[in-house]
Amino acid sequence: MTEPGHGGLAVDAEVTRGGFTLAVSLGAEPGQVLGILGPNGAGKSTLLSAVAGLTPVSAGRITLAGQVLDDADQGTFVEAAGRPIGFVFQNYRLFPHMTVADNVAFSPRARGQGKQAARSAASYWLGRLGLTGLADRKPGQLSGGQAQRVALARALAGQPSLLLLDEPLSALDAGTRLDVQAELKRHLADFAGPCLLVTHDPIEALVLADQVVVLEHGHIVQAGPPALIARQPGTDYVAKLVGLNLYEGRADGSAVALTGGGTFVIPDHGQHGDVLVAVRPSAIVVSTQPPQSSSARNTWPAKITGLTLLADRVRLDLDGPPPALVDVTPAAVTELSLDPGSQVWLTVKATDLEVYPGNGAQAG
Amino acid sequence: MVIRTLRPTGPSRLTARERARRAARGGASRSVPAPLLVPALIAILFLVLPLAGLLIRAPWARIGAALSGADATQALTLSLWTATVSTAISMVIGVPLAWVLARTSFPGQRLLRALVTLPLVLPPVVGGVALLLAFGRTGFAGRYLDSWFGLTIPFTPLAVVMAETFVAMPFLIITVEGAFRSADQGFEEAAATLGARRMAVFRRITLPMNAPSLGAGAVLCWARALGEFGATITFAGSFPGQTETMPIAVYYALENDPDAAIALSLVLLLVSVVVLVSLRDRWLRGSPL
Repeated sequence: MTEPGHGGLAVDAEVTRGGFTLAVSLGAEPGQVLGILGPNGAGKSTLLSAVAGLTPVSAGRITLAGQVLDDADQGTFVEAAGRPIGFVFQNYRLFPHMTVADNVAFSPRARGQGKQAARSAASYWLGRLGLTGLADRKPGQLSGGQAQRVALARALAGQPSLLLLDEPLSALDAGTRLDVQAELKRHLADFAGPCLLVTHDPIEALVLADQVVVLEHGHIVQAGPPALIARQPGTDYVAKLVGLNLYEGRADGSAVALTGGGTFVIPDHGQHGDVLVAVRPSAIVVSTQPPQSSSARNTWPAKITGLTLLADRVRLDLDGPPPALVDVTPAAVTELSLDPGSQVWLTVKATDLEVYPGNGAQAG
Repeated sequence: MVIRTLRPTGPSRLTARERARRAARGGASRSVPAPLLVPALIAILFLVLPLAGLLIRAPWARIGAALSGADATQALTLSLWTATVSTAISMVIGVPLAWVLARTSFPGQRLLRALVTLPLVLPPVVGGVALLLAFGRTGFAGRYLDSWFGLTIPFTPLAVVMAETFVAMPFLIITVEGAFRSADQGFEEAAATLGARRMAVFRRITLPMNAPSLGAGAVLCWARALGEFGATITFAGSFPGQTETMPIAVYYALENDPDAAIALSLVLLLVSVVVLVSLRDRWLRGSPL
């Protein structure tokens, strides 16, 4: 994974900052958007910081298109100003004392172009991102979506061969986020180099990234295409993000003995040894009487410990074993008189249980 | 031991206005206890009375004539240009020093910071003596300036500028250093990722983003230079037209031309008020620099 492809980014490094250590090995090919998904404090921003040259690595190396950017063993280091990168910061960091046009012209100018050339580069990028009318504004006079586009234009105007985006949509309100997201996807598709996109929003990663790595506590816990990660989460954190129940267990024939207690019977799942089982909260059926059992169904008693009203359904928190989150309609809550403490039966079809290999250490 | 009965205080009057204020802002009584009120009033009188005296005694009718006298005009002109040149020099060499103190770390940095800000608390006359010992005709540096270049500094307008710079530059340095230190370095990081080298970052980001603090430091520095007396009279003397700045002129005029002294003092008072107003956002709200 770390073999630098032609024009690709390869990171195989440790970064120590304070008492925190990030140890990752990842690569991104030209034209690829690599989503970095993880909770706060997982080391996502530290990773971008190291790739940008704002924090040196403490071990290992970072290369771009075969060129060493940072190598702790050889002591090679390219300063941030010397790296061919474009960085879109979380709060954009637009220079408040400059106009939008001057912000966008900053990088061409700093990288050695004349005033005129920098200005025309800026107006090209302003036009390309639909910002021409805002050229003379100050950043303080922009809406969130506009500021995001200016930040992207400013990063792209320096003709970077690598693009870094740190939570590019998190500063936006929910209303504009979807529009800006769609637009950002278009611009990322036009960008020829590799792109790292840090986010803690799984939807953002699903929509924008071609590949995703999940970072937790400074380590990569899962990597793969976003759709696979959404269907087969590798850790409790990812399962919670994508809204699935996740169980760790051991497969023996068609039976999967769950580590936390309980057993699922899943014919023909084809896995052996340590496995993970994922199931959607809406795929589990609640009943107040023990249902007539059938071979393709898994049924177990559980006790309701909590109810939360979501937009159009009620999420039940249930104690098993195994425990589960189950989504039911508000009507069902009334009809079955579901209360905290109620004893119920849960049923799930074997075909709704997604079984895939786990590595034992992943699920919590 | 006498045990007294504790009694709550009786009712007092609360005006409708005070009721409204307490209802709106909350809080209890705002009345000032007498042991605090009396000293506070004395302090106010002590600080304000002399200034009032200056205004009362001012020869308002003849103020124009008093200021247009040859000595007064000369002193005014000399003070204005020397203070301005001192401020310019302080900007050119003091701002880079402020950056070095704020953004780098090296052994002895704290000692260096203490040394360069020492003139803030040093009696100015001591500064004057120090300058004389360094740059005087027989001083350890002045000796060579004299024998190599024929340059004699003491008792020239250059000496005035040097004395004022020595005393005033630290005001600029600490103001600007504080601003550099507390500035959001995220913008400088962003500039670096956009390809800007250290000097470009300083010129295009750090300086313009700290412009208000640079302005405040410059105003403070200029005001201090304009009022400089002790170091100037020690190092530069008081030759009218050459080294006699306004404060020195006021001091001498008090003996033979009190009206001119008062008029010049009023000019200095006016300048101080203007400086205070221009810095009001930083000072009058009670916030630190």
